[in-house]
Amino acid sequence: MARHVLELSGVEAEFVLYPGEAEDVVEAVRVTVHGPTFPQRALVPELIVGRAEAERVSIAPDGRTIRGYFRMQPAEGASVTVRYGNSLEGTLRKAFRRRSVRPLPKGC
Amino acid sequence: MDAPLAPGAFPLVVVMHGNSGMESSYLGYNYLLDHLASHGFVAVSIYAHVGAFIETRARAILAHVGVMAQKNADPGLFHGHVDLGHIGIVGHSRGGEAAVRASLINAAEGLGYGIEASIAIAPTDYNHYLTAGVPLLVIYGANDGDVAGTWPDRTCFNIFDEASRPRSFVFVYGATHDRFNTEWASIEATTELTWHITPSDIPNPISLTDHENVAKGYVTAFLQARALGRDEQLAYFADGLKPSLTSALAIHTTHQPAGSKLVDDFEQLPHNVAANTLGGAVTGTSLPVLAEDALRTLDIHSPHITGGVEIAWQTSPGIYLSSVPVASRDVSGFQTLAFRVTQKYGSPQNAVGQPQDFFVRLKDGTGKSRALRASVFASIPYPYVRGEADLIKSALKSVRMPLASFTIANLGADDVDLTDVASISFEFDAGSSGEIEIDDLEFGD
Repeated sequence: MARHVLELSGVEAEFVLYPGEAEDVVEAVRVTVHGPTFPQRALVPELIVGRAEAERVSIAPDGRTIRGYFRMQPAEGASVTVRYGNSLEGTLRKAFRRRSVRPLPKGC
Repeated sequence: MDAPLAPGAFPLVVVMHGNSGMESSYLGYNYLLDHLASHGFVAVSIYAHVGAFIETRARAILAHVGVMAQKNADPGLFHGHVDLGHIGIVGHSRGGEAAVRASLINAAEGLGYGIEASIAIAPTDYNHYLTAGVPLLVIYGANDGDVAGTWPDRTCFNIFDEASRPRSFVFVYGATHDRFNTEWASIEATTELTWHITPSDIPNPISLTDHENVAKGYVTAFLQARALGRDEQLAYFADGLKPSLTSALAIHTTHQPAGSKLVDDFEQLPHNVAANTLGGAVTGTSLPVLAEDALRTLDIHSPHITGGVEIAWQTSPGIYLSSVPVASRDVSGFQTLAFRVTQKYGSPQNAVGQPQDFFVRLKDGTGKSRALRASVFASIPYPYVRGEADLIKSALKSVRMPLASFTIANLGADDVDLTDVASISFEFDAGSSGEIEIDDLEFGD
């Protein structure tokens, strides 16, 4: 358990096209977590949904959102957590819901 | 530009900042650039975007070395003034790791830049390099609130313990993470001070000016030694010499040259406290604790990735003796007997806040011996205490004893034959107590 609490305020998710293992493109889920602030530090933050850890985690320039990519859709009802090692950690009260993942735009 | 360019070419220093939310991070080392320029370096600080990771930063360093190479070749201000055969890379935090990574890329990809030193201030170590490729200096604050040691492998000792030699380390009591960058220091109240610097720590960190003086003094000395061939400047790392403006600070150094004869590196697996690396016997007398293992196994406060030996003594005289096999007894070609040592934090055998001490004895094959106090050559300080107790570090530092100290004429004392050194022993006084950890017992330069 981290020693400081990271405040999180919401989450949204959408299907996106994502680089595959080869030179192909696959569908992945991009999860974006909102909060008052996600600090930029030496430590790389982790975005975790259930037991799955996001790839390519990045913080928006305004520091208010963090997002990452999942090659597999996270489990229904999984908890959404952002943590910086065991320094700082927050978990959303609201669980991840597959039905709330926005589909790919038609034509993609 | 506020001064005319002096004639000639000057070594190049490239500085890479670490990660913060500030786009102006690269401006936070102007104090260091000015100091380096005044000592005959062409010094530049470069920009990496917010969030950039290690590889990006390392590639940016090398790209900017390329920029300076072009400026050296083209007509203009820098034409002919950049000595590309003598380059130092300095980085802070993620930039510190990138400084190491850049030197490795330079070698692996045959880029041919004359990088001669990597200097990592409060570095991360995401990639666990087994070599720095070039001489390495790490500077780390005991009150670092970012690369603080919250995970066992999240300290700045990692990159040092894993690096090849030569390597040097400067551990600064009271130094933090952000204050090495003047831009970051302006926002520390919302960053580092909300992480791992607690209210009880607040009076203890050294000032911003102190951080600047540490960086200016040690970075410059290291670059002078490694890029300008001024070996006398290694005394700042090897012999406890301190830059004048840091004289009031508690700074503890480790210096490990290449080419040493390791009597015991404590890395044999399985660990065997009864034998050293040379194959000589190791014995303990009246030592309630004598154990060899990974230091993190022996001590939850150890920040190191290395094996070592833990020794405790209590009231009665204790002796730890490491024998040197016959084939390895000629150490006359070396200058120094050295080891790394720390007090074990939390041991009831160590008096809180007090330095520790003991005798080191060399004995030759004829039985002649001489014992000298370790504290004559380096202090063995009590670990730096900070608010979050699990971040307190039993940090190793070097004790380096000139071998001449064991042979110089001294009335009533034996002169030890350095061509036939049979044993090294640590001897602990009756009436005292202590618990220490030791690594890398060696003869070297």
